[in-house]
Amino acid sequence: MQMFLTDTERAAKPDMDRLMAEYGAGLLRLCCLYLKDRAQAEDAVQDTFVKVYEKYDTFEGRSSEKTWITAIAVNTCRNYLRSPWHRRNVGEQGLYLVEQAPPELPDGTVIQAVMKLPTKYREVILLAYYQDMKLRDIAAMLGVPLPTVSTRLKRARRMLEDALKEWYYDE
Amino acid sequence: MNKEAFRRQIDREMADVRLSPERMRRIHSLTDRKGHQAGRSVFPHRLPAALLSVAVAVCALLMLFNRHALLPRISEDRRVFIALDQGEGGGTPEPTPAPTEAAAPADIVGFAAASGVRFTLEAAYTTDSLSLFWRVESDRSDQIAFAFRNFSLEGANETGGLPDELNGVDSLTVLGGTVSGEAMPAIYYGVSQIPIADAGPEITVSLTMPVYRLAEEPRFAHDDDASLDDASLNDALDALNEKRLLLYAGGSVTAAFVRTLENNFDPGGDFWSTRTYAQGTLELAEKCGLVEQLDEISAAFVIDTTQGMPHAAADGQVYSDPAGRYDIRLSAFDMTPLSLYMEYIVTSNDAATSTGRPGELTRTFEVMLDPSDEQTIDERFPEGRTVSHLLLDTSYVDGIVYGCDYELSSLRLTSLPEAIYLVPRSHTFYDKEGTLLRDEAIRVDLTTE
Repeated sequence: MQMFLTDTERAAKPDMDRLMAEYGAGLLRLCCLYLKDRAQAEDAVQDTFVKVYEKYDTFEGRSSEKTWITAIAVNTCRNYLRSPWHRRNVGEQGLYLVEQAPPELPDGTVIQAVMKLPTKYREVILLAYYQDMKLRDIAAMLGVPLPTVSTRLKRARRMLEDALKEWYYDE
Repeated sequence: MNKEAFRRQIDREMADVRLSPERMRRIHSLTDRKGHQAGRSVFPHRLPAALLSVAVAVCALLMLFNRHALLPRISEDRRVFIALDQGEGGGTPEPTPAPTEAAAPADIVGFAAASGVRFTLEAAYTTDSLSLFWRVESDRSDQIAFAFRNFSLEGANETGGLPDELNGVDSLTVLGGTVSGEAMPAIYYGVSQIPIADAGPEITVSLTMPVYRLAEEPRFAHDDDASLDDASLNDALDALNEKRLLLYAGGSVTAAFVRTLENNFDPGGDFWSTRTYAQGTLELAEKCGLVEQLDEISAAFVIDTTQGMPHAAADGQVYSDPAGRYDIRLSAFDMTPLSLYMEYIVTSNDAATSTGRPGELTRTFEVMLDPSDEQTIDERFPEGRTVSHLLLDTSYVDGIVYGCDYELSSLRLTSLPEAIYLVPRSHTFYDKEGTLLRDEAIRVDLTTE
């Protein structure tokens, strides 16, 4: 059963040490895969935690804390991707084209495959499979209809399967 | 695919990707500061707000009387912009150059600095959004860098957070000059859309734009010689010594360079706790002797929201391509003399039309005022007047038409047309036999409310 937070609980400022310990690494990895740039990802995570701190009193507990924070991180990354600064650096078409991963990121097989997905497929696979979010939450977060998320997820899986063949697909 | 295995593998491959202690300290520094700010907020808010409103009104009146001749002429049915201030350190107001199109853009405010850098700001307003179109131009032969900071909006509640480029997060941009003998663009422009609510009769927008240039004699003003060992910083210094402010091929001072600077000069992270990305980067570069500030433009103006703006809307209307192969539903559509905001969903009526060949076919539309006109909107409004390309992409993959797609587009117009045309530009659209299908333009009528 979902427990809503009381006013007193909402008024309290969050324990940033706990939040960073609990979600920091996961968010940074999510942002790295989302933005394909380690430095920008660190900036995005920083912005996310600052927003979490500022807005924590508005968190009502209707979703899990992780989902709420992930939504803030995703919105931050999406703003980064839409920004003129990012577009000038990655090229206007870069949002949808397959790109080589920047060298400062790890050279892992799965993350390379994930980063080669177009943005709209990359984000759903990350949210559904890495962050374990429900499709309904993803749809609400991205502002697209639920069938769209489902379709994108199916397509993203097919793309990943093509890229990874039998590497990590054990079912 | 097994979720758990996928997650474990990602974590394994990215095991080294963790928040650094420096970054955590900075986050603490930023949040602690905000906490202290909140705690010190004991001064009553209403009094300064009231005083500020009076001051703004007085300034607006004074500016209106004193600078009427300098302000763009205001037509009756246009939004009114009143410049409040026009530049510290040499900035002076200037009328915006006459547009090439017939409609006079009465609602443009221009600011020019003595350094030869010009800043132009225009806006369009609807009940729930404020679009700011901004343009920075440099008449100088050398490279300059600028940043926005201290952006503020008064007179309306903003509901979605200030745009990063205006809030100084990612607006650091280099303009003009030459790199390896090639002239670099001396103009940069963008559009920022700000969701607003509860707008009053006036919205006051203000921001500051410091302008920097490459230092005459780049120096490395820091005591710690050990920092010179950093390879990327040395690369940066080489570029600077060659009179190239452009540090990376991408066109901007990159976050990696910023990180190099901060690691060398600000290991504690306190410097950044009070500054945005762009502002901090330039200040740090100045502190290092790499750039020097030329001047600073402070722009402020009032948007009079009481006069009403011609408005057209086609929300929810569905338009089909002439062959009936697909529909475009405009799920959100706002058009003013200055802007077009459109979200759309494309739905195919016949999947067979996209099955000509495997792979991904991309539909690209251009929005045009006249489908027989070979010019695009961008070309019809030259000199950077159009601030955003309007290319609508929709994907068809392996015979599967994605039921919907999402895009947000905006552009600047100087007059309100009766209709616009979505003109397909991609010709990789085939039927089952592989025959190329030429698409016709889709006319979108704009109903004036």
